[in-house]
Amino acid sequence: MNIDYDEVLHYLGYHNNHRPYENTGELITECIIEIKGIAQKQYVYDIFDTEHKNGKILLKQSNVTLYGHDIAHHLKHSSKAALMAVTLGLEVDKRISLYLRINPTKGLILDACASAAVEALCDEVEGKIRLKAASEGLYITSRYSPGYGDLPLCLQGDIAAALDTYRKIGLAVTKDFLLAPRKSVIAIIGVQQVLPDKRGCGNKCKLCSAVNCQYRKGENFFE
Amino acid sequence: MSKQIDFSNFIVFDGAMGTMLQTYGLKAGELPESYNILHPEIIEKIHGEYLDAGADVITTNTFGANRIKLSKYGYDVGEIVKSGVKIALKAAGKRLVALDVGPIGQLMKPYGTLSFGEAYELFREQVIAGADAGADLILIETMSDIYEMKAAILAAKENCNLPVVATMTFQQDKRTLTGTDPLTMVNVICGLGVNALGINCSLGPKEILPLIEEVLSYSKIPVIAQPNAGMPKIIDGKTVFNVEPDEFARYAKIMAEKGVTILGGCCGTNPEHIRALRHVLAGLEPIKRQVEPITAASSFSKTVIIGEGITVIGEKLNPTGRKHLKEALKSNDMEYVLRQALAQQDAGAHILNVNAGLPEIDEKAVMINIIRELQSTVSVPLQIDSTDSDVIEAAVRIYNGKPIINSVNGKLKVMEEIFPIAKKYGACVVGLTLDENGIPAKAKDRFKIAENIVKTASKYGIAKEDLIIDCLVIAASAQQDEVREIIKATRLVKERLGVKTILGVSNISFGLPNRTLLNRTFLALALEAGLDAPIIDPTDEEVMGTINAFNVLWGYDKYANNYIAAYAPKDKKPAVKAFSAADVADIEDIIINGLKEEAASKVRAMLKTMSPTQIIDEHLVPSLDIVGRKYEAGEIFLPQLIQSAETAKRAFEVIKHHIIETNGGKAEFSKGKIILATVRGDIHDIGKNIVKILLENYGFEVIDLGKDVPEDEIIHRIKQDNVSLVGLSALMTTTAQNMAQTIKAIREAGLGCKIMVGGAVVNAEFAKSIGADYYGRDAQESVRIAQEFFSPS
Repeated sequence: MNIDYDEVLHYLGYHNNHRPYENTGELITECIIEIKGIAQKQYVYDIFDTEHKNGKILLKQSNVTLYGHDIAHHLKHSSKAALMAVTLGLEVDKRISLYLRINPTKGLILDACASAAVEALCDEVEGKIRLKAASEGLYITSRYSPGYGDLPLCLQGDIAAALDTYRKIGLAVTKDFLLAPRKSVIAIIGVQQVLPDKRGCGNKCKLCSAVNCQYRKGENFFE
Repeated sequence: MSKQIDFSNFIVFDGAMGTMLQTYGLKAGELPESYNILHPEIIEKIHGEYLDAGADVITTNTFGANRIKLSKYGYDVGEIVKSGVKIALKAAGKRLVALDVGPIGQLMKPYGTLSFGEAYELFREQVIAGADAGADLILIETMSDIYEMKAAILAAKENCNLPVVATMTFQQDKRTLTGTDPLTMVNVICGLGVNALGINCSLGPKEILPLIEEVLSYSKIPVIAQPNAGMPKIIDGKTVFNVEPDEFARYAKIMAEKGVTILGGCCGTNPEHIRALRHVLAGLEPIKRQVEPITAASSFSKTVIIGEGITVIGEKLNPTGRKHLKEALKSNDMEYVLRQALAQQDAGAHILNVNAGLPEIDEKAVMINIIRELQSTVSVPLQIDSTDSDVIEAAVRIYNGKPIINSVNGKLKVMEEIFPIAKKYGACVVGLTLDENGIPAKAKDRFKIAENIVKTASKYGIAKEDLIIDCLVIAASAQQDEVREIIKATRLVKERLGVKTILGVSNISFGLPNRTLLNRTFLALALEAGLDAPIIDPTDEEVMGTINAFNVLWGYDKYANNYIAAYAPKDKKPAVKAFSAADVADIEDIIINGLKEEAASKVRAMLKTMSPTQIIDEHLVPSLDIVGRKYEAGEIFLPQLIQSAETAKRAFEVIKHHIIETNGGKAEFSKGKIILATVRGDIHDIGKNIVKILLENYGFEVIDLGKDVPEDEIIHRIKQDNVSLVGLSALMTTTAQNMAQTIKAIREAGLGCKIMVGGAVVNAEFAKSIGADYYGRDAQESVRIAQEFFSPS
């Protein structure tokens, strides 16, 4: 798992090429190592055939139906869709929460490192799905998660049930559709015969409803 | 009428239900339990196949039949559980039906949203429905969280008379997903009085084997194994299991030969696995195991065996004679309690004693609060110290592990009160050698009381190994002659009763100077006499040094490895620091640069010439203002803002302690009281915590209600503490709706307080739309709001 120092800085709100003070910088390096040590990396994914029907996308062999204009657009060329779920496990939540109590600066930095780590883990799993697709001569779209655009957050629950995430990786979806452990991601990836419109993931933050998120990426981040 | 079960013989359980249902067309994400209603004939057929294969027990199709899961699909617990049991009973004939109870599928608080009480209620509902429908036993299985397991076992034991079998699922690191190891599982679950325990799911039979061996070496009750058909492998994105029936049975045979008596299968197994398993058991007899009893306390993740080396019990969480802790308990300052706990754990305490006995506080409420706090942060087991049996029962019930109860004594009434609690929850108990006539002066009389305690405990079914005898240390300054008697009594108890021993060592030096010297000298004598568990201050390096030395001299520390690691001269690397105290002339620089380590000594020096208010108003607050302005100007970022805030906090703490020391009273410099809470359903509290740190720095008194806080709790606290400003936080769009409901509820309660809101999905417009008075864009902004609110310019 490759946690990028600059990505962590970004999650911590640094911008315009500002660098941290020396003691903060050291703490970030320390926290990157700590996260790698405590993360219980777990993932599960499964690939389903899609059926596009009345603007909805049914995932066959499962009871998941994706709906909303944005996901329909995202998967418009996809004959299959992969559902994936990843988590860093409970120990990461515990450690962050402990540090927030006894050493908040470290807690804050560890939280940012964990956010970078869970993205890195998503990239790894996406890589596996890409390989699998490539072996059949197919391409994949970028990851798309419930809560982006008009894809309802409640789908987190349906996808988690379809992947049996609680039993397999200890990932629960709460009544309000939050993921627990916190450092977890549920996502959908289209599998298709044509290259997706835009390679790479683009700026997912633009799609997200967390308009005041401390981690929200600026317009130019990926440029 | 349920059928009798013979746990002294082999019992064969069935295999997977889910795997079988998939072959019958169950889709991913479909509710397996719905088949009880929609396709009962398929469930009956699967049961029939397992019975044909030779299963003695079939398991109902009710793994996920709890209210939280079922309600999403529009089903009712009663209908699913009762239909599940009915189908199984019909198929089973004379054979047995186990009511299957799986995990709720939610994480427990504080990292998830499920409380212990809610978990208990959910399980209770299933157990009652299953028992009513005629199940013969309860199988609680595939648990990852020992705390959830405890709730389920209590729900089963308290609401029906059926036998209970309990299994947990482990990962490759030999722990459950929430961190429990096999020994801890056995120590906790055995104590709760189930009929059999073991391991299911997890891994394949080969990988489970070493875990099962560990379980067998500790479990006093029958052991069950229900492995998967191999390690789950993801092939083409699908989970597959590839251990064939013959190989599965081969491992089952090895397990049976080692002492497992209950066998079955989990994910990936089918009737052929069970047939093969039945076949290999045919020529075998159950093994009679000899289990070496241990005296052990457990947290959720760690078991401490008393008698293996010296067990250090940290004494510092006891308000008697501790001014700062007393203040902290009175003002519900859990940070202070937590720091004391962590300091003791870091210093080498194996177990922490917890006492909340203060006349001015609600001991039960505070004790529960402390236990909840500690069990989610420290990893060592706890010793619950109270004289009130109500407090003890409440604490032992919600404790996530197997605690030690401190204490009973030789008084019959006390034993009658406490032993049933210890038995029910499987706790260890400290027995003090005093009775209706007080503390005897002579060793032989203390021994007699100890003997009586052991005898009485056995009448309650409490084994000797669950007792720890305390021969009671009395100050040498008061009863000098009795010191030798304490040592003698400890030796007698250890040698003649074969019971583990404990002593509150620090009492010996009460009223005399250089207490540490007396403490460690007495400790050395007591250790030689057979003291297993000294209650001491583990942060006292000299006292801990005596234990380190003893461990070498008594051969507990093999090759003196630990001793050498602790005391061998080390190459000292010069500390690298960006700034040092010498570079920074004043507290302003210390705060602005976030030099946490320098703050306390600087402020202590300042207090010699300046008053607390002068330091706060003329130095600390102006420094924080500078930091705040730099943050807003984009010159520094969140980590530095918080680093400075933490530094200022250390400075404030020194001042607070100074006031407590000099005035003997409470340090009071609150600029206003503010409640902070992350709203119901939301478990993300980092933003709220940052706001709290900053507000406290600016002198506001923050009542932090934590995360996932229901409306009524917030309203209750607003009223109780007469609070006029409330800060609410929410991270997701869904919980932002709960924020709206919270505000509505506060308004409807007719409370005149003002409300500020913040969080990732919240903006000014949303804040306004839900009726908030203020919108805090970031933590710094919330400080400004509070300042404006409490002292408008």
